[in-house]
Amino acid sequence: MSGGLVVRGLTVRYGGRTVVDGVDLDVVDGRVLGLVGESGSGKSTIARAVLGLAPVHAGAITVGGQEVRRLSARERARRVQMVFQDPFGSLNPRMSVGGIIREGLEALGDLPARERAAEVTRLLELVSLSPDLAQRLPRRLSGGQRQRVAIARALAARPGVLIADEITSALDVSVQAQVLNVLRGILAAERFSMLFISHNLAVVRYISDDIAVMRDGVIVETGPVDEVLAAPRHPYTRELLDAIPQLHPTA
Amino acid sequence: MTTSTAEVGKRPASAGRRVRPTEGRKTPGWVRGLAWKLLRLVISIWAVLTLTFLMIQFIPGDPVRLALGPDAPASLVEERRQQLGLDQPLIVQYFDYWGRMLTGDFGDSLLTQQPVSLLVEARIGNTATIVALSLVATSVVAILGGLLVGIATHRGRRPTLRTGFTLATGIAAALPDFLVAVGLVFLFAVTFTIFPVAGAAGADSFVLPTLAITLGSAATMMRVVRSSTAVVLDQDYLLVARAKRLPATRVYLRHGLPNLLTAALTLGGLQLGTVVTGTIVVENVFAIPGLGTALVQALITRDYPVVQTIMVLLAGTVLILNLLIDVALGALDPRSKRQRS
Amino acid sequence: MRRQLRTVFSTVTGSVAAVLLLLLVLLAIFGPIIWSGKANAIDVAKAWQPPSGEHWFGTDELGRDMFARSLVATRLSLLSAVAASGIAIVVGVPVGLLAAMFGPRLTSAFQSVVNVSIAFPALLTAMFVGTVIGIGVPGAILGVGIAMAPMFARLTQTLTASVISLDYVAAARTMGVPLRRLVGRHVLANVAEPLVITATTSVGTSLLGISALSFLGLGARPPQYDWGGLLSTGLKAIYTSPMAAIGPGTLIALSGIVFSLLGEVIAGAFGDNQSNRRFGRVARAMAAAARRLSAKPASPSDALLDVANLRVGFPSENGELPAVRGVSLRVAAGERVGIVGESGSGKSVSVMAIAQLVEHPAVVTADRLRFLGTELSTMAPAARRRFLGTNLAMVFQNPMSSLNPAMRIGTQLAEVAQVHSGLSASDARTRAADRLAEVGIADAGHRLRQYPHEFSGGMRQRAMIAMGLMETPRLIIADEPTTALDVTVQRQILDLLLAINRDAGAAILLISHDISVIANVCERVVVMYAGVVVEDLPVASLLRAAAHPYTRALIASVPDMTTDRDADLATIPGRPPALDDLPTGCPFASRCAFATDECVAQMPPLAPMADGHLAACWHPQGGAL
Repeated sequence: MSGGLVVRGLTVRYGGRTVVDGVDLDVVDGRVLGLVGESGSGKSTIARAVLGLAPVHAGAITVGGQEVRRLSARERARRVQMVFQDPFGSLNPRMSVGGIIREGLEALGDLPARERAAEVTRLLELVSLSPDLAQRLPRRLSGGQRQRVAIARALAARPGVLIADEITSALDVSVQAQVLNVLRGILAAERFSMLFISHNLAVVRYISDDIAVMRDGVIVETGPVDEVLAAPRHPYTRELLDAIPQLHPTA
Repeated sequence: MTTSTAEVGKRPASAGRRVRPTEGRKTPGWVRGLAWKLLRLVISIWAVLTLTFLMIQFIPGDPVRLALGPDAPASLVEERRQQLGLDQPLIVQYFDYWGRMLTGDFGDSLLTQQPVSLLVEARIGNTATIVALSLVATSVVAILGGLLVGIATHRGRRPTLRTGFTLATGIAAALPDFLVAVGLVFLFAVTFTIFPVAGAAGADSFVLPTLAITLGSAATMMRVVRSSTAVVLDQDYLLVARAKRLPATRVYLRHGLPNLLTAALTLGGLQLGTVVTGTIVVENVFAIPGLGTALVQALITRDYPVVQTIMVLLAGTVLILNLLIDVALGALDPRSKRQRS
Repeated sequence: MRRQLRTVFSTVTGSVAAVLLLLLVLLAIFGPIIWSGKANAIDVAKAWQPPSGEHWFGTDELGRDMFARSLVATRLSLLSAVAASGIAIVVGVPVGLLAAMFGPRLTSAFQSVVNVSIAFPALLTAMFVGTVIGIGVPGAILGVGIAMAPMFARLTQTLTASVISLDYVAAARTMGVPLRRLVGRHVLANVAEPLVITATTSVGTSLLGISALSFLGLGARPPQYDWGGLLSTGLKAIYTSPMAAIGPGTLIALSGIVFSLLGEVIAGAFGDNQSNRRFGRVARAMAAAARRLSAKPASPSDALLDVANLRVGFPSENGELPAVRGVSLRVAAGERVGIVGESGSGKSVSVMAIAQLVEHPAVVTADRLRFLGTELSTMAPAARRRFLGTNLAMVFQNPMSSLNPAMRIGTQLAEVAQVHSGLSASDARTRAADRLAEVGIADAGHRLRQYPHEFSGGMRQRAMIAMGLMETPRLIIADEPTTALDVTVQRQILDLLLAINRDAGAAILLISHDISVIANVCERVVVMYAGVVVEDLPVASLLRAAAHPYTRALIASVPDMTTDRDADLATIPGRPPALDDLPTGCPFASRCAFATDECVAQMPPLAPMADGHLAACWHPQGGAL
C-alpha cells in the first residue's frame, strides 16, 4: 500500500487561536519531506491533524488519493503511522516491547495469530534491535532503543506514510545518529514516504529529499532540500540558516 | 540510567513550550480573578440554599408527621404544614424561602415554636469562638511547623526528625476529632482537672474543644505544608537565589515563603472546611450550647427549620472561607489564574 | 504484580497492617456468631458496672457487656465503611472518567463543580443526605459515600487526563486500537494503582465518618449498634467506667490506622518499581577505580579558576555513586571555555560543585578549588557568599523556571546589588534598568515592574544574564543556557554572551551537550565522559587534531550543514556506563573501536598531546575529521 500524503488548505484552531493556517504540503510517494520550524510554529499540529488527533477546521488531507478523515480508524492506521517525540511517554509502561508491537498487528488483523510472533521478530531486526528485547518492559530500555521500538510499532501497520515528529530531539547526539541511520536503512529497504518533523535543520537536511519551512502556522518556503538550502528565498529561511551553530566551516 | 533519564526527560518538555508575553490586557488579572471567584461564591450559596430548601421536599412521606410523631393530632399537623407553607405550590415556597433566608427570618422551630433566629443568636457566640480559635491554631501550627520541618529535613537531612514527624503526624491525622475529644475528656476529667470538660462557663472551657479540633487537622495540614515545602525548595528559582549568594534568610523568606504559602494554601486550605464542621462534633462531646449541639438535636427530632438554618450558616462559613483562601492565593500568585486543585 | 505483593508483606509495617486487617476481618465474620448472646444479655441490676474480670469494658445502662458488644459491632462498622467506600467509588470513578474523556469544556465545568464540592465538608454533606433518607445505618452509609464521591471523581479525572495526554495513548489510537481496549489496557491499567491506594485509605475515612455520625446519634440507632454508637454510650459513664469509652474508641482508632497504613504500604510497593538493587557492588568497584585516577601535579595558580581532582559523590543505599571522578580544570582571565558531554557525563554536577551549589547529601572533595587565587573550600561561609556573589555569575538551562514566579523582575535583579553592594533600593533599581537595557531588553523601566510570566523565553534568559551582571563578575558559568530555546533565540543569547566577554572581560564557562554551540562561542573545549575529562584542547584544533576516539566520534555523529547525505553517520555503539556500573579501565573502552586489553585494565591518565592539548587515551588518534 503506497501513495503520498497531500495536504491542502489545512487550518487547525484551538479555541479561538489559529495554530495552522491554510497549509499545503506534498509528501511525494517514496520521498521524505522534512518539515522544519521553531516551537509553536504548528508543525506538530499538522502531524496530529493527519492522524485525527487534532481538530481540523478546514482543508483536505489525502493519503493515496483518499481523504483520511473519511477512513475508519483501521483503514487510516494502514495508511499513516507516527513516531512521537518523547521516547519515555510513547510506550505504555505496563506492556512488554513485544506486546506493544503485537498490539498494532492485532488491531489491524491482517496476519493470522501464529505468524505474529515471527513478524514481531522481523520488525525488531528491521530497527536493529535484538528479538530478545521482546520480553522486556520499556523501562529497561535506553532512549534510543525505545525510539526504535516506536518505529517498529509504526511499521507494523506497513503504512504508506510515516510521520516522525521530533523523534531525535530528546536523545543524546550519539544515540541520535543510531536512530537516523536505522531510519535511513529502512527507507532504503521498504517503500514508503515520510514526513520528518524537526526543529533541527541539519538533521532535516541529512534525512530529507524535500523541505518545507514553517513559521507561525504558515509554510514560508518549500522545495527540494538542496535548492532551498543553497539558495533560500524567504528571509526567515535565511535567518534560520544563519542561526545554526556550525562546527565545520561552510564551503 | 538514573541520572540520564531525568536529564533527557527534561529537555523536550521545556523546548516544546513557548510562553507568550501577555501585555496590553485591559482588565487586570486579579480583578477578573476576583469577579470570577465572587460569581462562584454566589452560585455555591445559591446551590446550598436550593438544596436545603429541597431537603424537606425530598423527604419521603410527610415531614411534619415524621417530626411530630404518629400520635400528634391531624389538626396540629395541618397547622404546622401551613406554618411551614407546605400547602403552597413549590415555586411559591421556593421564593418565600429565599426571601426569608435573605432577611434573616429563619422561621419557627417545629417543636418549641420559638423563632430560629433567637436560637441562633443565643448559640452562635460559642460556635464562632471555637471555629475562629481552631482556624487560627490550625493555620499557625501547620504552616510554621510544616515549614520548619520541611526546611530541616530537605533532601534527606535529619532522617530521624523526618521519621518522627511522619509517624507523629500520621497518628494524629488518623485520629478523628470525636475520638480526640473523648480522649481529652477522659484525661482531664479523670487524671488532671485543669480544664473544664463540659459546658461553656469561661474562657478556659474553649481550650479543650479547640485542642480536639486542631490536633488532627493541624497534623494533616502540616504534612501537606512539609511536602510542598520540599517541592518549592527543589525549584530552579531557589537554586538561582542561592547562586545569587543571597543570605539564607532572604532565600527562604523572600523567595521561598510566598510560593510555599501558595502551595500550602492550595492543598491545605481544603482542610479548613473540616475545621468548621469539627465544631459540631466537639460541642456535642463537651456539652457546649452552640450551633453544633442544636443541629444534632434538631436532626434527631426532625426539627427541619432549625436544621436548614444551621446547615446554611455552617455551609456559608465554609464557602466564604474558601473565597478568602482563593483571594489570598490570588494575592500571593501574580499569575492569579492558578486553579486550586 | 506478584512481586509487588511480596514487597508489601516483606515490610514490617506491611505485615503488621496485614495481620491487623486479618484480625478485623475474622472478628467481623465470627464476632457476631460467637458473642451475640452475651452482647445482648440484659441484666439491669448490673447497669454501668466498671471494668472487671467478667466485663472487661464494663457494662452499659442495661447491664450488657460492653466488650462483647464492641466485638460484635465490628461487623456492622466494617461493612458500613466498605459499603460507603463502594458507593463513593461507583459514583465517583465513572463521573471522573467521563469528565476526562470528553472535551476540555466539560472538563472545566466539571472541575468547578468538583472543586467546590471537595472544599465542602463531608460531615455536612453526610448529615444532609441522612436527613433526606432518614436517620439510620443506610442514611449514614449513603451520606458518607456521597460525601466522598467528589474526591474519587477528581482523582480519576486528573489521573485519566494525564494518562490520556501521554503519547502512548495517541500511538495506540493511531494504530486503530479499539476504544474498549484503549480504555482498559492503556488508560485504566495506568490509573489503577493510585485508585487502589485511595480506595484502601478511603475505607478508613468512611469508618471514621460513619462512626462520627453514629457517635452523634445520627447513624446506627438501637437496637443496631456500631463502634461509634458504643463510644457515645461509653462517654456517658466516662467518670465511673472509662473503659466503656476507651474500648470502642481504641477499636475505631486502630481500624482507621490499619487502613491508612495499608494504603501507604501499597503505595510504597508500587513506588518501589524503579528502585535499583545493583548499586552497592558497583559503587565499591568504581570507588577503587576512581582512586587510581591520578591528580595532575599542582601548578602555579595564575588562572582565574583552578580546579584540581574534583570529585562529587551521591550517597545511595549501597554506597556512594561517583558522578564526578577527579576533574581538573583551569580557566584564564577573560577566557571562554566550553565543557561538552552527553547526559550523565558529570558536566553540570562539576560546575555546580565549583560554584559551591551542590547540596546535601552529595559529597564534594577537591585537591584544589581556587577562584581568583582564593581557595573556596576553606573560606568562611559568609565571606565566600560575598566573594562569589560579586565575582561569579550563573545562568541556568531553563529560563522558564529559573526566575521566581511570585516576584517582579526588577526586585529579583535589584536585590543582588542591594545585598552585595549595599545599594539603596532606588539605586539598585536604576542599575537593574541599565543592565536590562544592556542585554537588549527594550523599555527596561516598564519591564522591571513585570513578572516573569509576562516575559518570553528568550527575554527571561536575557533577564537571567542581566541579573548576573548586577555586580561585575569575573566568571560567568552558563549551564546549557540555550537548550530550552529556539535556534534563532539561541543565536541571540550566544552573541550576547560573546559581547559580554568582549566588553566586560568576564571569562565564560559554557556547558553544553552540543559541541557546535561550544565551537561557536569558546576558545577551548573540555570533553567529559562518565565523570572524567577525556580531552581538553583548543577549539581551533578540534577538527584538525582531536585525539580521543570519543571526541572524534562525537564530532562525526552530529550531522551539520556539510554532512555527506549519502553516507551513514558515525555512531557510537552501546551506551555510557551507568554510575553504579563503572569499569576499572577507560570508561569508553567498551564502545571504542581501538580498545585493547590495556584500555580495559587501566584508566589512561590525562596526558599532553601538544601545546595546550590534553587527552586521556592509550591509543590517541590523529588526522583531520
